[in-house]
This record gives sequence, C-alpha cells and structure tokens, in this order.
Amino acid sequence: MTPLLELRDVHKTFTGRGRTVRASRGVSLAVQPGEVVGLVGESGSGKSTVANLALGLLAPDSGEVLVHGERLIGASRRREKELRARVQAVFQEPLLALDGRRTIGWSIAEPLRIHGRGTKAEQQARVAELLTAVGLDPSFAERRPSQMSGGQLQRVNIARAIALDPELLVCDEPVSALDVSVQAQIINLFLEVQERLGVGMLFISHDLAVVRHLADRIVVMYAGRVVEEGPTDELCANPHHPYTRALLAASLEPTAAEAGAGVQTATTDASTVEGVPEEGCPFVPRCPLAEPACAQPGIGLAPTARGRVSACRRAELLVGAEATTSNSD
Amino acid sequence: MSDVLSVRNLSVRYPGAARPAVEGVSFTVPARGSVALVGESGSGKSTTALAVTRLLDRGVEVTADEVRFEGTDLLALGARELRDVRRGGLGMVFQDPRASWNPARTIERQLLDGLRGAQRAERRERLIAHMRRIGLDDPERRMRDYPHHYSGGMLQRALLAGVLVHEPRLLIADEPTSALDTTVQAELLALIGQLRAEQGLSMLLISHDLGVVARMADHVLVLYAGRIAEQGPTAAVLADPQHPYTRDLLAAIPRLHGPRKVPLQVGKVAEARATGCPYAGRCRFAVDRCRAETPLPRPVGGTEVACHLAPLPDAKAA
Amino acid sequence: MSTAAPTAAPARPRAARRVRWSAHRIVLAAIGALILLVVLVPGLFTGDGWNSVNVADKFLGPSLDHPFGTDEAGRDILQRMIHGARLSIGSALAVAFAAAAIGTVYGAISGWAGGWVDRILMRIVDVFLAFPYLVLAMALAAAIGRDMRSAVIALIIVWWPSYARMVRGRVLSLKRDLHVRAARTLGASSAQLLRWHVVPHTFSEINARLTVDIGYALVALTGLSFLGLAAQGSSPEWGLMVSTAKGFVLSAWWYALFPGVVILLTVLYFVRVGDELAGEES
Repeated sequence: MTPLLELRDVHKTFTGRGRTVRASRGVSLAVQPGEVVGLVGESGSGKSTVANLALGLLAPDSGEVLVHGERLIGASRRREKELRARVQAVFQEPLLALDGRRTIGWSIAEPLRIHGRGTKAEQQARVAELLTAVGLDPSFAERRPSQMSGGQLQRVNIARAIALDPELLVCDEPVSALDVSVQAQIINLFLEVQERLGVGMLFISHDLAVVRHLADRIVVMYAGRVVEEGPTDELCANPHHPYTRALLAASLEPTAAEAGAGVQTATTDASTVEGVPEEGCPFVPRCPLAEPACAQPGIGLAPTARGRVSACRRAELLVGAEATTSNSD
Repeated sequence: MSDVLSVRNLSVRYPGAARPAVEGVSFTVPARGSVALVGESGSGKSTTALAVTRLLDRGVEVTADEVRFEGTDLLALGARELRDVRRGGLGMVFQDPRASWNPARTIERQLLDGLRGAQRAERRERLIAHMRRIGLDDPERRMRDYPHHYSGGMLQRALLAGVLVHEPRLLIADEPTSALDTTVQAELLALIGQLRAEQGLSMLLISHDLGVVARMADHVLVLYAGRIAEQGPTAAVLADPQHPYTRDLLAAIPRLHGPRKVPLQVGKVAEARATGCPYAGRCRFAVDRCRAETPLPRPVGGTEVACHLAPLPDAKAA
Repeated sequence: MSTAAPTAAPARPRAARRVRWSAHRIVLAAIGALILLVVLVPGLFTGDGWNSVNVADKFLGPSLDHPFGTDEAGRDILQRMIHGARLSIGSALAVAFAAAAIGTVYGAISGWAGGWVDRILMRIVDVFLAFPYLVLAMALAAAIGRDMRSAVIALIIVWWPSYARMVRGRVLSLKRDLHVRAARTLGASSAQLLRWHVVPHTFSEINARLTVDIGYALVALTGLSFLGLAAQGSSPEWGLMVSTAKGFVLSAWWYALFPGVVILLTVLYFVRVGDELAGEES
C-alpha cells in the first residue's frame, strides 16, 4: 500500500545570520491511508520543519518527500496541483492562516476556485455545507476573520482544509493557541472529521496528551531526529526512549493524587545545557541513562519490539518497565 | 499574622468596561504555603495578581476591603514604599522570559540595577551563589552575557535567582512556565519547589494549566469571568469539584490515561453573563435563579463554591 | 455539533475596514469631489469666452467680475485656472498613478522572484534613486521635449523607482506570511497568490503614498512649467501662469499671488488626504 505521505531520510539545514540550524537530520516517517500519526516534540525538535516539508513549502536538502509515491517539488505544475488537492493543512494560528481582507466564505471557497470545482452557486452551497459540518452557522460566510474568535476561526480553517475532500491532513499545532475548553471542542471536531471522512492525518503537537487522544501511532522527535516510534497505547504505557519517558513524566495531569506533590525530573536541566552534540545521541547531555558509548557516532533507530523502534542504544533497560506516572526516577 | 498575603473582596474595573474584570475575590496565602489562581483567558487571574502588586495602569479602578502583605496595606502605599516592597518581601516572575529582560544590558547589570557600593558588592556575592544554585556553571562569566545568549528556560532561572537575592517571603509567579517547553517547564517547576522548601517561601501562582497547579499549589482558586467559581485545598477541588465550571474544565483536558479517541466533554458554547451567575449560559444545570441572582461563595463539601445548586447530583469528575 | 455563538476565547480584533466619517473627513471628501469636477468638466464652471483675449481689460485687479483679476491679455485669471486645473492636476494624477502602477508591478516581480533576479532589478532601482530627483526630472524633461507630455513622462521615469522599492519590501515580508503559505498549500499558483493575497495587501500603503505624491508631482510639474520645461505659450497651466506673472509682480500682484496660493492649497490638500489614509492603515 502506497503511503499517503512518506519522508525518507530527509535532511534540512537552515543558515542565516552566521548560525546554522540542522532542523532535520535523517527523518523518516510514513502516514498510511486512514491512519492518524501523531508527531510529538518540543521547540527545536524539527517537527514544524517536517510539516513544511510534507506540505511542499520547503525542499529537502537530501532525502525524499513523497506524496502518494511522487515528489511534490519538481513535479509539473499540473501534477503538483493535483497532489496538493489531496494534502491539506491546518496551521497553529487561526487568524493568521486566513487572508484578513477576505470574507470567511471567500476563503473557504478558495480551494474550490483554484481547482475549478463547480459553478459559483455550487461553490457557495458547498461553503454553507462545510460551515455546518464544522459547527458554524452558514451566515458566518459573510463575516471577516477579525470578527470571530480563535475557536471559530480554527473551525473555518478545518472547513477550508476538507473542502476538496483530501486524503491527508497535515495539522501543525492546531490547538496550541486555544484555551482549554475551546481546545477540547476542536479536538472533538478533528475526531469527527477523521471518523466521517476517513482522512489520514499527520497531527503535530508539543502536547503529548492531545496527540495521544487522536493518534493511532506516535513519532517522537528530538533535535531534528526521530527518537522513537510506536503504537500510541504501548508507547505511552511503556516508552522505549529516555526522552519519551521524560516527556511523559513532564506532562502534568491534574489528578487529586498528585495534589501539592511538586515536580521531580529525571533529566538534567535543559536550560543549563548549551547546544546539542554533533555526534552520537543528541539527548546525552540531559539523559539519566547516558554513558560514554552514547556519544559515539552511528546511533540510529532500531526495532525494540513488534511495531516499535527506538534510537536509544540502552533501550533494553526501558523495555518492559512501566512508564512512571508519578515522575520520580 | 501567619498569612503572608491577605486579600478580601478585591474588584478591578477597567475604564469604559461594561463589567468589572475582577469582582469579589478573596483569598489568603499562608506563610510557607502556595496558592494558585487558575482560569482561562479572560478569567481575571492575571489582573488579580497585577492589582495586588499595584502594577495596573493608573486609570484602572482597584477596590478592596483589604490587600495586606505581611500586615501592610498595599493599596495605601506610596510609589517609593511600593518599590521597596517589590524589591524586598515580594518577588515577582512573569510569563515571557524575553520580555522581562532588556536586550541591551547584561544580565548582571540588570539584576544589580540601582545598588551601589558595599550593598552592591554583597548582593553580587549572593547573586553569584544563587546563579550557581539554579544551575548556571561559571556564573561570574555568564552574568556578563546578554539575554540573547540565554535560552528561555535559562532566563526564567536567572530571573528567579535575581528575585531570590532579595530574600522575598512571597513569590508571585504569573504563568512562569507557559512560554517554555514541557520538559523545561518540569525542570523549572522542580527547581521552584526546591527553592521554596529551602527558603520557606510562600507562593502565589497564576496559571491556566491545571496540571501545573495540581502539583505546585496546596490551595487553588478557580476563576471564571472575574469571579471565584470554586476554591479550596487542591486535592479536594480535584477529587470532588463542586462547581460546574470546575467539572467542565477538568473533563475538557485530554489525559494520558483512560479512554482516548472519544469526544471530550465540553460545556455549551456561550459568553459569560453579565447578570446572575456568569457561567449560567454554559452550565447544563442552570435554572432561572442562576440567571437572575449572582451566587456567592459558600462552603460545600471540602471546598467553597459560588453556585446555587451545589452540591450537584452528578457523579464527580476525574 | 452545536451551531456556535461566539465562544469564550476572543480573537484579537483588527481595525474595521469601514471608514469612520468625521466632519473633517466629510469636508476633505467634498473638496475632493469638487476637484474631480473641475478637472473633468471645467466648462461647468466657466462660460465659453474664458480664453478670449480682451486687451482693454488687461491687468484689472480682483473684483466681483474677476475674483482673481485679469492677466496681460485681459483674460480672467480664475477662469483660466479652472481650465488649467485639468492640465496641472490631471498631469499630476497621471504621473502619480503611472509611477505607482509601474513601480508596483516591478517591485512585486522583484520581491516575489527573489534571488539574483531581485538583486539585479533592485540594483537598477538603486541607480535611479541615486540621482536627486528634480535634477534628473529637469534633465529628462529638457531632453525629451519641452511640453507637458514630455514633462509627465520625465516625472514618471523619475518617480516609479521609489514605489518599486516600497512594494518589493512589502512583498518580501508578505511572502512569509502564514495566509500566503496556507494559500499555496491549497494549490494556488504564483500568479494567483500575487493577485489575490500579496498585491492587495500592498494597496493601503500604496494609496497613502500615492495621494501625497499627487501633491508633490503637482509641485514638480508646476515647477517645470515655471522653468519653461513643460507647458508653453498660452497654456493655462498653473506653473506657467506663475512664470509669466513673475514679470509683473509689482504692478499686478494678484497675477502671481492667486495661482501660487491655489497651487499651495491643492498640494496641502493631497498631502492631508494622504496622511488620513496613512492614519487609517495604522
């Protein structure tokens, strides 16, 4: 089965103002039809770069970015357009993703216009249909983005993204800018859209709990590399990489049992560490399991169990251990 | 007085606003204790903290029966006395690490600003010790760096060190980790916990993140539209929330355990009401009385709730 | 799924796109309408004999019959000015709009293309901008020909580069805006992106500068006429009138005064409107 989206050993480096940032260092991942893949990482992990690469907004320095087995960048103009119709995006900032000078209806109809789907009247009808599908009254089509709240605007963005009935949605931190209760509504909307349309998703977030709620499979990134990948339930219950474990421990849940318990961490303080080592595992400066061999070059992903991979050479210490829910080590 | 901070019936109104931003808020922070103000945007939690520390603009109307810090009435102080309090007993940490620092001056200069001579030298020694404590190796050299050489997490730590040098008794932290990565946040919170224990420091924490609040606070106030919905010991509020908003808030948070791929429970979508209970528009239990009459906080079960209908019939949340 | 009323999380509001009318702006708009009428249908305000020579009436001072007095050929100065408005203001409008149009296209292409194309195109702009604009305008006007049409062309050539630079800068930043990148993921072509999402977002800045430039172009044009490089002979162009009047300043003071004051007021008007538009933008 051809994956909807595939990244093969992708490298991407940004240079500017005397600094070099290696945002992607050999990233590989795939999204199968109908599958929701969650991509989790903090700032500097390279997850947003993956989003831009997947959407063809950036060209990789090396490696392949394939949509349905084809390259998006470098394809003929017509082929590129066809492929783009099948991969749509929802971005983090609901207001900035829309053209402020246009009405909501204009923006939602834009993909239909670009791809010549239907007459003007048919497009308008489709816009009303889409607005209803995302929980907004069709009269919102006449409004402008500045007249609407963040949650409503994100619904509009989702409506625009599903207008062409795409096969894949790339969602880059789509709920991070929203309040808790609004965030819950949009998460529910994503669930509904995924269920009804059977669309595949690459859902990117720094919030593991959000990703867990939506994803079938989770990919964890750190410093431009994939450090672990596996089915959601297994990965969250039993992480095979110290960074995943740290991320789980740091995802604080409001439960009465932990009330007033404070926070303990097993990792070394990130902010006291300067930079990421060039060779070897990038997590070494902060890792509680690090030993000298971890700094050697040649560390990569290896299978640790069925359907699971980890980039930790000491993963066997973690396999089978419970993920700590109270976060003492 | 064993309470470091005592606030009674605080109200804040911005000029030209239809409704007060904060109304009828009362709480105390005991010595060595930690209290959290939690709410979403527009709840008034930050405004409350800014009002207590007199950091709101002059035109904003701040009224209260009492705002006392270690017995001193903060609302009656003049500008100079306020500054002394802010430098002395009351330490503050804010959300955006980059915004708290002047990019054109070194860290050292900014933290020792305004001090001279022997006092400066002595403070500097203490500052170096604190910087080392927060995890900065070679603090003497690194203090001469500029803010852009530091990461966000490091800046917050440096700010903490600078605040601790003044030996405050109360730390007011307004979303101190919201701009930081998850693991960096955990590390900073762990550090704050340790420092508090070492120095016997009280804390007033403002946050939208119930997970953070759960770990860091003994006592929590849940704010909605400028009013207290519920307050009480953290364990009680989380174990058996009595206010519909608290319940809805807890139910809306995605969890790391339990069912997934199912819709989260969300209240109705509505604006906060101007008359009666502000939550009545969204509350699934609301009756006519709720829309007409504003409920006042009263003890129910283990917490204090501003709800006419508490105790509620539903099963308790998480 | 409920149909939603506004939820609890407000978006940060941006300025409404509706114009707020104050007494001040109504007055400005009224003046603008008047100017437009004068430029388009001067005959509405004058009789047929506005340009007829009547030596007997030469150098009459301001009166009810001749509010601005008469000139050396006995022609009513006010009526000549009304007909001259079409020349002076009309040409200034032509300069400003043409320069803006050319500069916008040039700057948009340069900014959007980026890379070496952008570098070369901007170098050319730099060359133009290196010259003091009036000197260049004068040289060009003299070289192309000594009439209004050549003066207009000369000024357009001198004026377009600053628009190019402004639009190019704006396009460079718009290229990175999220809504432009979002539209690209929808499948929009570069042409569509430029037309729908990039160039329209440069309009408010262009408008503000363009309006002010009408005023400055008016100064430049009347100045060129004054120097004999633009309008010639018996043309009722305002700058030419002032030029002719300078020989009679002591005897017929009204001849130089009124055209000069009207030029000044007109320029001030356009600058004022431009400021208002710029204020709307911010």
